[in-house]
Amino acid sequence: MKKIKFLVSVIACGVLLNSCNDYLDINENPNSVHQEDLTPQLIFPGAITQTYRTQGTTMLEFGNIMMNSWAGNSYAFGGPFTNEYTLSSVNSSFYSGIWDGIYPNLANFAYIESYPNSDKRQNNYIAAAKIMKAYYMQYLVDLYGDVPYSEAFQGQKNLTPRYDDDVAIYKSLIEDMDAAKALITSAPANALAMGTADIVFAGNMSNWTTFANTIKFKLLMRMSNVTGDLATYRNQQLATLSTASFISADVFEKPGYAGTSDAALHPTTLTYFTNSAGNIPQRNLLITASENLATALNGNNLSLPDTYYQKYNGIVDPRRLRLFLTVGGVVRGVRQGATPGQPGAPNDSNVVSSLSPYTVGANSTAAGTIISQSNARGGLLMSLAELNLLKAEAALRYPGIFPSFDGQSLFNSAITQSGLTMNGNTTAINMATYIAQISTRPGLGWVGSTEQKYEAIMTQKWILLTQSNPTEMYIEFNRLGQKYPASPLATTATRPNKPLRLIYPTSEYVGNSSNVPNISSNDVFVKNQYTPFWNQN
Amino acid sequence: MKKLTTSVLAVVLTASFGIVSAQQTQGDTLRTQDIREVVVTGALGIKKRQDAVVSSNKVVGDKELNQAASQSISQALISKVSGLQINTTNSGVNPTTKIILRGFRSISGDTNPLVVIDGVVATMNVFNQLPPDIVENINVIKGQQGAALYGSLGSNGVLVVTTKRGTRSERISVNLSSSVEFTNSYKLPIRQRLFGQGYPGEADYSDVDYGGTNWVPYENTAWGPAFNDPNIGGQLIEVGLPQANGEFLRTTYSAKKGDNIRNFFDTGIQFKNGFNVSTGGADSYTFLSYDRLENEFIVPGDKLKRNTVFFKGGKKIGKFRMDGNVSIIDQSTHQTNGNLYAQLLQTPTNVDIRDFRNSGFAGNYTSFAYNPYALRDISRGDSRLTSSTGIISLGYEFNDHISLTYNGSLYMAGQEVENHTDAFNSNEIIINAPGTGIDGATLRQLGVAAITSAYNKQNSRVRNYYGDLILNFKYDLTNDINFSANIGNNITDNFSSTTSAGGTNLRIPYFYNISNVVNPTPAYNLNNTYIRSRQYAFFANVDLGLKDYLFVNLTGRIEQSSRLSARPTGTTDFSNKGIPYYSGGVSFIPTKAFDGLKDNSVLNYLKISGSYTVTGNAVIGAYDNDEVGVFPTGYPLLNSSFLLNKNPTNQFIKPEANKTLEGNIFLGFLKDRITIEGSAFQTDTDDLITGSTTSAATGIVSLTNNIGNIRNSGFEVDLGITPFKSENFEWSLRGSYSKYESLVKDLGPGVDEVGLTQDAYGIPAGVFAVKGERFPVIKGIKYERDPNGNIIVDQTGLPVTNSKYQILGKVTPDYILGFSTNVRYKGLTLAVTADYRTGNSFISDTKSLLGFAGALEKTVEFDRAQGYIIPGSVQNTGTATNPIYTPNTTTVGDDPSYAGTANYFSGAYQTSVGEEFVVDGTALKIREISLAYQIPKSVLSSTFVRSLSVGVYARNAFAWYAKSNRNFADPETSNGGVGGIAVTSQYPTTRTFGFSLNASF
Repeated sequence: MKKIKFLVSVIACGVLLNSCNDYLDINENPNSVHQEDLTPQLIFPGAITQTYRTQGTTMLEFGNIMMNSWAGNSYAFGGPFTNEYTLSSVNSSFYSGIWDGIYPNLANFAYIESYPNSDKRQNNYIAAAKIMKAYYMQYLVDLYGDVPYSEAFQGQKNLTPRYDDDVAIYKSLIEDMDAAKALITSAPANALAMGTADIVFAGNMSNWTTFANTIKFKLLMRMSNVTGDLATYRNQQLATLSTASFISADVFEKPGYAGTSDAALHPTTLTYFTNSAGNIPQRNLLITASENLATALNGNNLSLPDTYYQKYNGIVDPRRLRLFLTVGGVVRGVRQGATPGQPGAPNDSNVVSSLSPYTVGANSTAAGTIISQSNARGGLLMSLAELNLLKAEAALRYPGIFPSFDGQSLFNSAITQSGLTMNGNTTAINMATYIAQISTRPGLGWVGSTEQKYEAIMTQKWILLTQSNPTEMYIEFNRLGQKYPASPLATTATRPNKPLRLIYPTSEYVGNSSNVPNISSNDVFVKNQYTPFWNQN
Repeated sequence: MKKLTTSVLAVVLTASFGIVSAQQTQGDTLRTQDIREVVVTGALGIKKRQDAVVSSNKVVGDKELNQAASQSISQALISKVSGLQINTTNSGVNPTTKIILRGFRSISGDTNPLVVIDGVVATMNVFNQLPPDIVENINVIKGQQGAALYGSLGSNGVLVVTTKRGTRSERISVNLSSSVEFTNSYKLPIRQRLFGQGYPGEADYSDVDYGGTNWVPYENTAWGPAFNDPNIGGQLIEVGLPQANGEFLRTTYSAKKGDNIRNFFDTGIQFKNGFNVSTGGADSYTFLSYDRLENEFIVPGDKLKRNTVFFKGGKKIGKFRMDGNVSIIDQSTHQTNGNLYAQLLQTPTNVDIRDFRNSGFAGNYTSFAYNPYALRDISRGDSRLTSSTGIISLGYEFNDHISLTYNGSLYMAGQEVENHTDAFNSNEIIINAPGTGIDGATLRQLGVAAITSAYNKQNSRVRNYYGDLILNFKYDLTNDINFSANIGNNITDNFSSTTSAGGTNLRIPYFYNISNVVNPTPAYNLNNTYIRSRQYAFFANVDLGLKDYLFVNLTGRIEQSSRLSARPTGTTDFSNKGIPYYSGGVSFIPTKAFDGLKDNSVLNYLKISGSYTVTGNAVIGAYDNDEVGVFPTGYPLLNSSFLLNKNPTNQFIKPEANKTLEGNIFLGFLKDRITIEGSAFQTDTDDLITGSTTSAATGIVSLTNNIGNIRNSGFEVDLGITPFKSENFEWSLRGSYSKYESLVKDLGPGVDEVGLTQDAYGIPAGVFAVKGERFPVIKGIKYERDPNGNIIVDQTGLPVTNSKYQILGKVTPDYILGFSTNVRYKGLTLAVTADYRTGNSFISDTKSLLGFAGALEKTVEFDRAQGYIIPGSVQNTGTATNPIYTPNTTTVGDDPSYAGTANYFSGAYQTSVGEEFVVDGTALKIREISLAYQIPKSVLSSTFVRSLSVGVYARNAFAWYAKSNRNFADPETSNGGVGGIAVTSQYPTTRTFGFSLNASF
């Protein structure tokens, strides 16, 4: 009798065990979309916007502090930007946000690239993804040299991607631009049109083709100092662009930023100007002009004796109001590293210029206007003026390849274009007077030796990239040997020059320690094997 | 030799029909000679004699638990069980605790042990809300074997709580307990008292030079003139920003008496009142208790109210038995969300913060920090939680050998959390201070950031079911060998759902409702989730006993959890494997086995036991292994969009596997006047689960996966001495020494470390798991030192550092010494508990902030006006390969001025060297002191009062920290995770004094 009871209960359990698998099959996340459902169309706009957040915040600040364009308001803050000024702690956490902000988002472009496409219907998305990936990938190479690429973006399939030679990555990016153009050309009639999912060119594929050419051109121009086989390669590739079409307008990403919540706001607006409730963030008070940039914009109003400021004497830049709010009619800044009472931070007043809302394309300091106008304008990925300056430089460096490029007119049109870019929802700034004024100033206008013209190109690039992509400028500054424009170190600097690259971020030393090159703080201040290849000579 | 009665080994069917009279004395293991005959409740409510328990455990009884009238059971357990480390991680009106049993066996995941209340699994929340008064005892199961029957749930150990039940006498018994206690802030950071408000070069208010600096009445930093400067010291001068009436407050320029931060805090008051009524007979009982707790924290307005109703009853009719209990807990808390402490810490010592009580943000003592009083009121959180737990326990005895039990519980909770912040627009406030440099400036221009109004509301609902169906057998295999077994099935079904709404910018001020939010936060950025998980297990338990001296226990469990059900991306089928957990252990009592050892007057008791356990820990949540897309920031904007998940979990993740060997010894000498308990163990955890930082180049930034293994080993020695024992006077002492270490043996291919917190609040240091090192360690940027240990500085006097993080200390102590004593003279009882921990370190955010604010003592140990030369520093005057170290005479930043000093401490000091902020965490704490007086029965004999006792007590009465810890923080505090980082967003530690009264009728 007892035995039977025991058996009955065992059988009951056995029956339960069979049914138990269905009972546990409830582990599908009802709170999020499943990865299978993610199509290129769903991913593409978010991938651009998310990556741009780094360009519009971290890279904006990094480039402007490094270029001595921005300074910390030391009247209101104790020890602002200490690490950036002293350069004594350039370590694995120094601006690691650039790497950590860009890299993981590029995986979304890689996902689109490898999306099933046997019927070629995804051609447009794949081409655009390749272009956007190359645009940001270049910055990683330019700031870090060798980085993971061929084994990157594979998620869990390869957790420790090896590092590729930066030359190989550059070549691969250049080839990708040709591949992207080919994909667009070969897209079948029923290929998916990107339409509103294309937050850059609204589905206009010929614009993507010109952007691909522009990025390829930019990559190759960065290689201006290479020699030997690489120089041959560069010249061959440049030759393929001699008659190519480039972008014909500023390139914005416009995801439809909105003032409905902080997260939906334009990231630069949120970080430096106002939140969705109209309150001004602390960073607005923290950031002011550096004395260096203020001097350039004000026409050396303080009569600073340094020779590199003399070219600005008496020429007030009409764009200065678009960069900073003026105090007493001039841009008033702080010398990087100076604290109140020290030279560069006089005690007569503690009011300094803060960022002009024109930085994000708004023509008023009213929060509502800043929000609506900056949201509508979107994020400036690349300006036409930058391209024109690159072309002006190409006219000087490679007249044989680009016989049609007229350096002076490209240079002038870049300045004119910058006045248009900084229009801030009103009319373009008339740059004609300024162009005339600088035409006699070697290093500032198109006059003098070739070297002085390089200086003029870089000086103008510095001013016009301050608002949109100063990290590009900082990389260009490195390319030209940290000479142009003259950019003094902070008063508290402990290094003889600015870093030539960044140290790999802590996340690499932690998560990819077997592959990441072990470089020290000292390594980034001198040219060596860790310097990006285009800057090793 | 008498045969062991089957009742001892048998499964006692209910949680409540145990040998109650004996259990009541469980706490006094030293006093009762035959305490080991007593039954303890273990896993699944299975009861056995302490002799038969094969793994390490400790039972804490209600007296010991309630000696200092603690608010929660976790607080009450602190320092009472060796190996059970309970850290109060954040003091507050509802303090948070972290419980770690025997160190870390995992590098991520929760360390909190499983809580079992009256035979069924409960949540840590319920555990912390249950009034300690209704607890009969807690069996802390330290050894893994004791928890093996719970499988993955029990890998952090188990706290088996048995609640009180009614009397067996046919009378009604009423108990009253009451306590009132007072709490004060304790151990506030020691700050310099020689310099006051100001900053070098900040001359827009006053351009007078005082020894290289300026006096600024609205500075938050103490980088101003010295109090002994004859030109300003002691003078009655302005302080703070102008008040609403346009006038400045005035104060003498000198350090205020006492501690000006402490002045901000009130005395917190807590009232705890409760009563219970019980009655019962031979086969039935009821127990009803009501408790009310009202706590007001040292921050005025922070309040907690809790009402607990607990009802328990049972009845036995023939072979059928039924017990049930219901507890209903209603708790409301009101707290400020403002980061008050960080504001307070900056207050220079010449400011009496109380003067600014009613000044609001606009009239604060400084324009660079918020007024803590205003901040306290502007941002507040309210929470209302109602939970109910119903437990039912049924038993049916088929015959003498076979019975069936069912224990089930249903926990239901609803919580509503509301947070609101009022707006403060500093842009609209214009300073009215004619004749000064700040006249006409807006408050924002002076540094006060605006505060955006916000409102958020979250409703959540939880429903957890837990049920065990167990078939029990007991047989005498021979006259000497007893056998008992339990086989059963467990089902767990947990469900929770949360709905949130909220946003920023309230259109109408002070109207806290979602309809009043102008900028609603997108729903996908809020917590709107539905989570369900289930678990299914079969288990078996076998106990064998040879007479009364040899016991064997074997357990097995096969468990399947829905959280491990994996559906590979792109497919529809789930896979889920059952995971086996098992254990075996032996206990042997030579003093009962061998005639030669019996009745030995010196060694009266000896027990040795050992066990081997394989268990696991599935530290992943429901749906974690399902691959999903996430929203980009701010979407949907124009288009809806998604991104790949940057923080995925390996789809085929397995539970962590713990293999534990444990050995225990218990010695009793001189009729247990001296007892020695020892326990040693080693747990190897394979397939460690952690969300480790991955190379961002992979496209993911962290992956939760099985990696590597960790070895957790340690031992505990408990010594008990009862030097005196008589009817009127008894003195007992207990000391314990426990030592654990968790050695990270492997972290998977190519991974040498896992960062848990990489960058602690701007300080370049964090908490890591490092291969080959103890876990967790603190790593950070370190000073470069010469062979003599001197700090090396560069030409500008700034410390030279390496660019990569190095090990700076460890989070867990080398060892913990526990001490308690109990002295009773007639009705008077004095009890003291203390512990000492050393060898641990923590990263102090406070030290960094005090450095910034010029409040550190080290900032006055030199002449500020001459600049700061890092003490004992050297410069390398040789080459990099052939260094020659010569004493350094260069001030930091090569700036031998007051400005150079201030600029260094308020800038580079904070962000360049992590080592500077790693503080020795050694602490000696007197946790509890209580003195209770039991009114003699003779006095009460003529009244209806059966017993009456009054007491005074103190918690956290005294603490001594390491010399380098200038009260920066209580080393126990931490902001979540595995500890090791004390931040300024927490409150200072507190101490409490109270009075209690207990009466029964």
